[in-house]
Amino acid sequence: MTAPFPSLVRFFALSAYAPSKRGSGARSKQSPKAAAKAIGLAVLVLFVLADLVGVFIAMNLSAYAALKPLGLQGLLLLNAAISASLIVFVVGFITALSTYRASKADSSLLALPIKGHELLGAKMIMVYLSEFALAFLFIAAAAAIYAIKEAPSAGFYLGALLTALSMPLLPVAAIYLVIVPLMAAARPLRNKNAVMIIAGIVGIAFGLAFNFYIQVATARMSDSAWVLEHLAGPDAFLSRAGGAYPPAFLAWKSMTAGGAAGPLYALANLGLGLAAAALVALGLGKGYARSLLGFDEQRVRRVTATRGYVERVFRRSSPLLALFRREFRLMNREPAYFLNGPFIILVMPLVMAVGAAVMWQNGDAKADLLPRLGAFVAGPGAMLAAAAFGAFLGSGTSVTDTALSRDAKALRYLKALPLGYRDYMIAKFLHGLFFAALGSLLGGAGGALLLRLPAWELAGAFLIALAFSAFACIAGLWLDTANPRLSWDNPIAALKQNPNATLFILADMVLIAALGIASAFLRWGKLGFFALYFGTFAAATAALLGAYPRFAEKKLRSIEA
Amino acid sequence: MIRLEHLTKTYAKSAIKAVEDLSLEIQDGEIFGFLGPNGAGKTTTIKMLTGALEPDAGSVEIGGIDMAASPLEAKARFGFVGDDPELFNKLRAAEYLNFVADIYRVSDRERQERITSLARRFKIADVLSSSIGSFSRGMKQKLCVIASLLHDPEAWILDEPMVGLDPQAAFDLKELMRERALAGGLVLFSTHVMEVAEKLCDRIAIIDRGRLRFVGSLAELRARKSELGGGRDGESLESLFLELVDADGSDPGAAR
Ligand SMILES: Nc1ncnc2c1ncn2[C@@H]1O[C@H](COP(=O)(O)OP(=O)(O)O)[C@@H](O)[C@H]1O
Ligand SMILES: [Mg+2]
Repeated sequence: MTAPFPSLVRFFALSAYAPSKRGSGARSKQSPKAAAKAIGLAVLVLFVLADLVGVFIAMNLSAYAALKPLGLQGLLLLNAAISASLIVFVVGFITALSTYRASKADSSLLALPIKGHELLGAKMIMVYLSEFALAFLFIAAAAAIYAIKEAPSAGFYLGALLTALSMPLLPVAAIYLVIVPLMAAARPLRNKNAVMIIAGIVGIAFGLAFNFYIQVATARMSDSAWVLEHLAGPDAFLSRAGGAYPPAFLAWKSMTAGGAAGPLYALANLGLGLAAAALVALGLGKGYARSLLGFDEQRVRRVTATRGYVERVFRRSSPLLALFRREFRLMNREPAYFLNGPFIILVMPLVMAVGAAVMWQNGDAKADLLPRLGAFVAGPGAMLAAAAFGAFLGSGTSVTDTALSRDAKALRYLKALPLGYRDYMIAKFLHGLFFAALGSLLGGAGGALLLRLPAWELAGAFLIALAFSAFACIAGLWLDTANPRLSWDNPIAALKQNPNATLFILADMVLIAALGIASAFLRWGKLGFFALYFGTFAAATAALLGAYPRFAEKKLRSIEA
Repeated sequence: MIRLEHLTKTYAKSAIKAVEDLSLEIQDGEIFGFLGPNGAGKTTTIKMLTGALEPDAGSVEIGGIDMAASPLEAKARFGFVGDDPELFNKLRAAEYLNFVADIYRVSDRERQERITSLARRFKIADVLSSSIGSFSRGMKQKLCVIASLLHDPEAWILDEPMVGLDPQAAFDLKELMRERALAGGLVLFSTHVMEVAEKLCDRIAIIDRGRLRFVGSLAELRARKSELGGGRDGESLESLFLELVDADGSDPGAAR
């Protein structure tokens, strides 16, 4: 027997992180193919993470170069600790919100003799585990640079590790300190939709803020004059930082104090974090358990089915239209799907507009950037940039590359209906095309407006984006048809744990980037580029569309729904 | 009429034959019960019968139409209630019914009439504009039943339809089955609850570990047992059933 608390933690960990077990457990050992897939996926994820960390490393390197002459290189570590706390707070906030009640199982746990603080504690550990990985990456990136350049004593490494362990603690405690009372108080929020929407908004706000912070911080820290002026002595600044956020101060001390003192500071940090987390779990456990009750209550609307009502509501439409509508509703009413799909199309232009506004204000950025791109932008570059943004928006959402996977459980039923598999899949394509057109319009045409391009270039940007997005749509659909992810319990898994989505997004980004780079080398006119890109992608789309239905029909027939 | 011939299926991800060489003929106007313990292969057979799963071998014919050759025509002839009503929680009940009616190409007038009468009968008429996610399991089950009858099919196929229904709804459903059979329709349903089959079915089939163990009426089952010397008069179907599926002494649950 295991004590209830550890087994609760294991239960949460398995249901959140474990890959789904397929079938009836008949296969106990992994096939080589599955292993290869898992490795491939891990490599992809590492690739994406490396990209993020790469930005952070580059920032650290340039900051180090500027700070070293002043003897302030330790600031790197302080910055890493602050960044890690910040990112952990916001990413953790989203994780905590979206796993606040991850599934019905959470509510049913209340029927077991489990104490509220055990339940909350287990949830906090869950969030802590994923946030630790994040904090570790940030601290390690800065610490590695510091270690290579400064060759500190062994205590430094221990201090850094303990710091990475302790940095997420306080943010996680703070997150639940905010969320639990909020959820306990606000009934309407105890609904998955509201939860996901808040999480999405926070995520985007964070994306903006963090971007901004990194840009400003890099600029400032590489600017020796600014550092000298504002940080006169490190103590002045650090005591301020220490007063504002003691863990960051302790983290900095633990890595720079040297000798035995370093790990001691780190231990103090760890103790502080643990105490805070324990206090929150103990203090809010009851409130958490109570707030889980009645989660997901829905209002049942009672409408008397009068003759008028029935005649108004029950009207015939074509099977294809019915399939399209179904696709549309099932995608956009599932918050996890909506936030990762259509929502991005609507919000990204907003983010870009804000970014552009900031850049315009920062006059020097414009002055710096434009002459360098000069001739290219004056030529076809502006139209292509708008087209690229449109292509990115139109294709970058997981609408078709998870379309069959999302239907997994319904397939058994759908296959028993007299619907043509061709219609079924074409409806999925059209649904994707709808968002492809929306993204192309907002991104391509919107971008062209922002760059003040003439009407025909605006149309060109839109059409290139549309052709590219349509191609991406059918290619993504093909990918998900060939290898759908059909066994999942939580709808998010159909999207987030779907190798097709990861593969597709990466291929998509790489293709757009490669075309962008290639375009800079080709010395063509606007019309040439338009003909090349629009023609190629329109033709490729048509070719795939022509061959796809037969493939889909064969595949759908053989799927063991 | 439904005709299954030598149906065999082994799932790609498992080594066990889920269904093995199963042949059956079900006539119009009869209520046919498909019985067996958990994991016997009932759902697998129904999946092949409805065209959701391709058999490894064998054929399915519905109303004289071959499923493999003309799937759309064959599928249009039956209505189907699956074993999992948790499918379209994000849709409103009315949207779901309209979707199904559109796929079956049911006219405005017919769908309006049938939805009105069936929804009244199952007492969910006033929640049609609500999200299915807000329904209890029983309500979802009733909705699936209604959806399966919108095109007034000649055959009605239901997988474990009584699960989650309250006594009143279960009674209503049984009544509806009888009515459809009396009107010349064919009703086939699977269950692991013997009592239901005993009261309702004209004929039953018993399946265990993928193989058919018995096909016939309840009287025939009793006769068979007394021939073998085991059965007493008035013995319930349940004990006969247990003897049958346990014939070779192994535990059917453990075998799966
Ligand atoms: N998708 C699947 N993949 C692999 N094996 C399956 C699948 N579905 C069912 N089985 C196996 O097939 C056998 C029959 O299952 P099923 O037809 O669902 O039984 P029943 O409906 O009679 O309870 C069981 O051994 C089950 O484990
Ligand atoms: Mg079954």
